Amino acid sequence: MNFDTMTVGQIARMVSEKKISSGEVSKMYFERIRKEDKNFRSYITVCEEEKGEPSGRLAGVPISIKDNICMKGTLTTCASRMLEGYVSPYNAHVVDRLSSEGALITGKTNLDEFAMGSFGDNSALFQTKNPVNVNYLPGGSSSGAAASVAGGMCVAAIGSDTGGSVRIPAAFCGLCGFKPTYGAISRFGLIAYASSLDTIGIVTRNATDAKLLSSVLFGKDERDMTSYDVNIGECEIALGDIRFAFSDKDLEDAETEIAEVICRVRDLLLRAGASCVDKTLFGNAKSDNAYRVLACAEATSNLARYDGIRYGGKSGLDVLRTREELFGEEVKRRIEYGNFVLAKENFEKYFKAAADERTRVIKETEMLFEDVDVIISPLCDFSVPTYSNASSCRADRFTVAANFAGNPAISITAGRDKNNMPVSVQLMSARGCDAKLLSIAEKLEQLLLKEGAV
Amino acid sequence: MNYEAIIGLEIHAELKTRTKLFCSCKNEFGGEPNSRICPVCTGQPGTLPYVNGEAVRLALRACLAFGCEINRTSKQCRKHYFYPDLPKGYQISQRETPLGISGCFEFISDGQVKCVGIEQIHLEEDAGKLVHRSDGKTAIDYNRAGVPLIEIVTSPELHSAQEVRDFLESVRLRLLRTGVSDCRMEQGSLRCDVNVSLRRAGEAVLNDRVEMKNINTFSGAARAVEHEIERQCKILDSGEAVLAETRKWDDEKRESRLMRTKETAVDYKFMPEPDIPAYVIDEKALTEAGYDIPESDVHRNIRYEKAGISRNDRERLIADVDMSDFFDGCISSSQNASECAKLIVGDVASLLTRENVTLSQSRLTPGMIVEIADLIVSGSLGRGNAKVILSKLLKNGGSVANAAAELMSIDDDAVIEETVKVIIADNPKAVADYKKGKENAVTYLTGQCMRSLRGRANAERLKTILLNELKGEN
Repeated sequence: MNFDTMTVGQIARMVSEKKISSGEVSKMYFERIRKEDKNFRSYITVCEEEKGEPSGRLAGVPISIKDNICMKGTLTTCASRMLEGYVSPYNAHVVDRLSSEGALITGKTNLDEFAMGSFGDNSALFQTKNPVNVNYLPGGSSSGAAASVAGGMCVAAIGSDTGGSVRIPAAFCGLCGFKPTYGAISRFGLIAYASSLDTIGIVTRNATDAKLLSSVLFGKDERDMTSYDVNIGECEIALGDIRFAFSDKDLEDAETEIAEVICRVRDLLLRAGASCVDKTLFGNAKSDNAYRVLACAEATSNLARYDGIRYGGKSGLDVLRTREELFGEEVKRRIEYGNFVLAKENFEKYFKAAADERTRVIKETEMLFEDVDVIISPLCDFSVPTYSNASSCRADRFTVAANFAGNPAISITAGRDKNNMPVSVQLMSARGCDAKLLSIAEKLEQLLLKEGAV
Repeated sequence: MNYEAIIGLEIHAELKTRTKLFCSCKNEFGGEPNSRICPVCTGQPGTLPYVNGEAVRLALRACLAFGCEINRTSKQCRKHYFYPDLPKGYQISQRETPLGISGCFEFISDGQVKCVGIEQIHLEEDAGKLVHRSDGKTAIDYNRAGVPLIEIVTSPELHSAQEVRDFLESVRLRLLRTGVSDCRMEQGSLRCDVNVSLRRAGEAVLNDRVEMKNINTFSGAARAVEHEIERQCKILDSGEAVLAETRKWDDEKRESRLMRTKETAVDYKFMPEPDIPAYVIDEKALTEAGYDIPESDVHRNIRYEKAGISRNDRERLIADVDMSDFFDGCISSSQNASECAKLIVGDVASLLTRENVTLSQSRLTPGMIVEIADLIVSGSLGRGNAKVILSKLLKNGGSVANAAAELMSIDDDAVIEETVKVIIADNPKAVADYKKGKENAVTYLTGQCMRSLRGRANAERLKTILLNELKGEN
């Protein structure tokens, strides 16, 4: 078995055609994890247990779960000392869905503490390495999710995306990262960072796998009132028929190598017959700030429950000292900012203004998508950073917009830089048009492959 | 110096739903600590609230019952504070767009109809409870966490302790009659905070208000108000200013204690609840919530007054939901409503207390009361006998006619014997016929006895006694 290229589709087929048993797949993957994960450290908890012969569309398919998603009877840490030793008493919706389709859940993966971070260097537990090249950052916050797939220690990973947390690590690790429409997948069991922005996301090798997993995970769930039915059926659209937005403005600050890759994607699409409009949604400082205000305000609220009484309680400290000692610096910074913008005297000026800006952006986004099928942009306008040069970069410039307006977005590998690190393109589409987005991404991947770009 | 007291109330009532506000745990009282909890109502990481439609319906019903305008788009918000019994670190409540606003509620105090504005009614969740154990440790019981509550916020339009008490009692009856809450004070399902401020009589300017918390009974509310008015009077008389603050009422010691001042006030950092979409209240929801809201008690009072019910009887009927409902069953079919009212608040009430049963457990029906009232008014039945009949009917049911007949039958053998002796003495010929063996002489004598007893004796019993007497003649 070639762990480095294996996909969800391939394993599902092999198991259903009885070319291999799910037990054998399980044995091979846990063996692989034992051998490889000491190098990459993607897993916080490995869930190796004997199970019967499963059935379903994902029978025997090894999938990892980000450790901010609950699994009954399993440690759920959010990579924070605050939740050290916390065992969830219930299953998240996505865990139930995967299990009911026979998936093999391999374990719980590392992340930036409480999903706060873009580089995968903010876990309170340990550092996850980028399997493409361990000298580079894995990306975050779903660092372990991406590393577990890239390292061949599962074929797909479930993560969460609040501002790019699935798309960024997928891009850094040369994978496909899909953030669906807000509400398409139930958040029940996803430990909240910023509830109105949080989305369950999927890391796979390609868009075809993302589509397969979406068809399992999508759908209204009683337990999440913000969830609803988003169509994930077949959507046939030829690349020649699409109309996309693309703007050179998005490339103004981009490294040359990145700009070249992205322009090449544009040219390929144009050559295929697609039409292009010069428009963009990205790089609006006002809306990016508004995103940050709302994200931090909601984080402050969501993290209020960690008061040292029910969690982190073994420290024997009072509320303030528990929070001071058990939350990491980045988490505390965001809580502090959230407290500031929620304070009675600041609410109008910051929170209310940000909420108004969001309403405006949603309208603007909707209007843009009346004209185009997708927006094409870099996923990130710099090369995958190493440990030393990350701090100066802003990785979420192109990713937060999809969360802010609730749209689906996907990152796929479109080329390699001179260090042979992956360079990714982002495709974003209208809310509810996930099936179309995935279909376009799938075709673009095939085109890029055919053209030898990747 | 003369002052006018300005009082506003915040009343919390637990809604009478089957399950909690955001999960399917039972909404009940008591039981083993933490026996009705789940990951959602204990705020476990990753859980989300799912709104109980029945709670929204009851909250809307309350809004309609208190004359509120309905916000057609209404949103939950988060109110943040740290307290061990608050599992999420915030309470899901409402602030900017509560379900109901600008209502008004009429009630009767001191025989007068008064009206108090309702600023808003909103839907929120209750917190758990701290249990201070005998070993000095404090435990947390989350059974109550997530129980649905409405908060009714009044305008500052009450002016005395008595008014506060009458208002609260009227609110309680309104909530009971509409089925919104069971208002069990002893279980804390109805609680209130009072805000008191004073101003010089005739002045328009309002002074800073003092909020009193921890009030568990209506009489406690009245005492707290009285105490606070007195306290503020003294401060103002001494030339000082009353400061805006929150105080905790201790009903046992009859004193209040400072909790926090304006400077140390908590900033609740209100924020819209992102996990719950705004409620969109349409006509259908309004109809479902309010189509059968009963009349107001002020209206009920007028209706009873028109039916000729005395003030005392009206007050007693209105104060008891079961009794007034029962009485309404009489009033529609009776020519003698005031007699019915008298019977219900008098004999029926005292019999129920004596038998320790409720009206619905008893076998009384409104129709029985109507019949008895008619008999009393027509002079055929005395009040004493009426009570005896009621007592029988309450326990055994049956018809008024049978119960009345039973009451009037003579079952005292001595009375029958007396009559038999007189009849035997008065009819020597018939007695002689009997001795000759003429059987119909017995029939004749029985008839004579029965006539003399006005038919109120048991025929079998009479025959036995008569035969005994006749044999004794030998």
